Amino acid sequence: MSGPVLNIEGLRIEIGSGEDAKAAVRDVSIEVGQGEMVGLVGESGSGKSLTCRSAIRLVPAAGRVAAGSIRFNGHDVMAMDREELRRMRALDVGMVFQDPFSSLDPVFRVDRQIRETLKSNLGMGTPAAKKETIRLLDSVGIPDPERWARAYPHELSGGMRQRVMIALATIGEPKLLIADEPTTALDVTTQAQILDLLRRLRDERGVAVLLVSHDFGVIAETCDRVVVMYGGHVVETGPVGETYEKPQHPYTRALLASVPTIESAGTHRRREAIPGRPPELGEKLPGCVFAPRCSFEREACHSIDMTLEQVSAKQRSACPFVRADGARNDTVIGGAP
Amino acid sequence: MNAADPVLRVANLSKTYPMRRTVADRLRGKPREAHLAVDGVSFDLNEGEILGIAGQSGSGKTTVARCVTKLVAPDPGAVIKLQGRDVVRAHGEKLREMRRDIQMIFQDPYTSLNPRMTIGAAILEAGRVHRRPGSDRPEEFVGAQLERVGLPASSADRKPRELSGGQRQRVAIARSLAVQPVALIADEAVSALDVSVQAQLLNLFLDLRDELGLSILFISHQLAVLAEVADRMAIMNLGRIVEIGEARDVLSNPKDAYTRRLLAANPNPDPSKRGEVTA
Repeated sequence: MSGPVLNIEGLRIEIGSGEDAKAAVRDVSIEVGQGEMVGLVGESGSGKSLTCRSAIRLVPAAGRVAAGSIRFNGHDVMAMDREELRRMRALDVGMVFQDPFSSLDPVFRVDRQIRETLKSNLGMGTPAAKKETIRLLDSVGIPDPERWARAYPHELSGGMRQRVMIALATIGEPKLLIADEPTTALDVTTQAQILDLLRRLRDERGVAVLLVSHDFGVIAETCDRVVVMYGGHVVETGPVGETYEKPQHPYTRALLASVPTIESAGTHRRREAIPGRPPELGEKLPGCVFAPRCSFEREACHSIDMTLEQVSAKQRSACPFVRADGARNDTVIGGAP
Repeated sequence: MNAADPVLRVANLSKTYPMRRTVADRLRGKPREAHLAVDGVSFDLNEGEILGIAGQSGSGKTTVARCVTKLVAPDPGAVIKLQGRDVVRAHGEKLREMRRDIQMIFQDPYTSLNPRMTIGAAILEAGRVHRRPGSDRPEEFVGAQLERVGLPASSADRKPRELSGGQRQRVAIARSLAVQPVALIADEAVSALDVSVQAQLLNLFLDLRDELGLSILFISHQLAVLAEVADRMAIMNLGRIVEIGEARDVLSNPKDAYTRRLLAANPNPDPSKRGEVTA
């Protein structure tokens, strides 16, 4: 099979119902190829978490997928029945969240939680499940797995808990791993180890990874491609290197300009901060959602429809006016220059 | 106070917390073990300087801040002097004065602001309690504090929940400034904010240093954040300062192995500098 593992098209997620429904995700399309590592970067409220959760139909109860299609390995996720959905979540897609403590049951030892999952998801018998548990813990880099398997979640450090979560998420040799801010609650050195582990899963076992983070640095360290979200829209997508070197959308450019870096030490230059604040849920902004904070804002920005246009060989941007080379394209509206 | 004296001098600061014993250990009469959270820390915070303190969680950086403001009592032998005045032995009116002079800003402004109070009332209360000049003219006083942190004076009537995270942190800073402190302690003050808003706040701290001559102890686990604001920085590990110096020297030419490990783990936004991390 050569198609993408995950293909989301024209996704719209609304929170609330009827008249009060507010769009949190608008016309989002994302593709994750086999064995590809894609980063989804955005600030709080950008819709990145909802988007990645929709891939396994985990949108919280207040919200609903109002439009668009979600395909996993070609299968329509929205049309799956309970059993198909259960199988997909159990075997084909692993999910890792920010807070591993709330995803583990505090009253059971680690080995029992993994064993139960192995039994119910893979139909393993107890002896096989016991052996597999130790192998899994070992594969995610837990030292002395026999000993730590007997620990309760509260006895583990944050990094170890996240490793246990990754062990659980990779039980069925999944094709896709969705990691939603997996390192945000961790120290930098632990973060580096977990990112290393995710990269290894991809390199050695060919697992595709959709990594969601608010930190461009985390994405830059690990991913092949990046999708930048703002205010419920995808504003730009492209290879990580090109996006860093030549950000096409003014938001990406401003975001990268405000990321603090070690190299700033001792220079007395101030970062150009983006003025204002991100839009709130349900705030109605006609045209480009970034326009109120954009330094290139103009009349026409308030009437564009924010569709992604091809702007270079591999990059697509939702801004029809501004290009990476700084050229302002006043004459062509809605098309690449 | 001599002109050459630092605003804040900390010497030989240690803090031990007794560990909990299990019931069985208590019955056996096993003595309490002690956890040394801060171990012989010394540093100076000079006038108009931002001193960064970096370290992982559990390295003792917050305990240092809490000792300096005497929210917890340090172990005997510690010297903490604010403009030459002894913080360790201060009590009553003297302690109140010192707590006014050194203000703390926390990570989560939502839990440090009263949700039922308008932000104007919160700022005014701080000024009134410490009888600050000008606090008898509420509107002007509150307006001036808000404008100093880049909020419109008209926002005085709003409640904390109506504000965004960045705006709330500005209010927390405005409230600290209302009592006219000589030093601020910012404990992970920008860690919970989105990057685009974080940069605004970092610039605000730089403005406060430059325009008011404030001295700031800036605590963060993110080296890159400290690189943006700190003049000097200290790296803490397991309760000790393992390295201290000019921010540029510490970050570009780290002497200590732990500092190097922290630096190597820092995620670089430039993918061409992607490194094999062996931390």
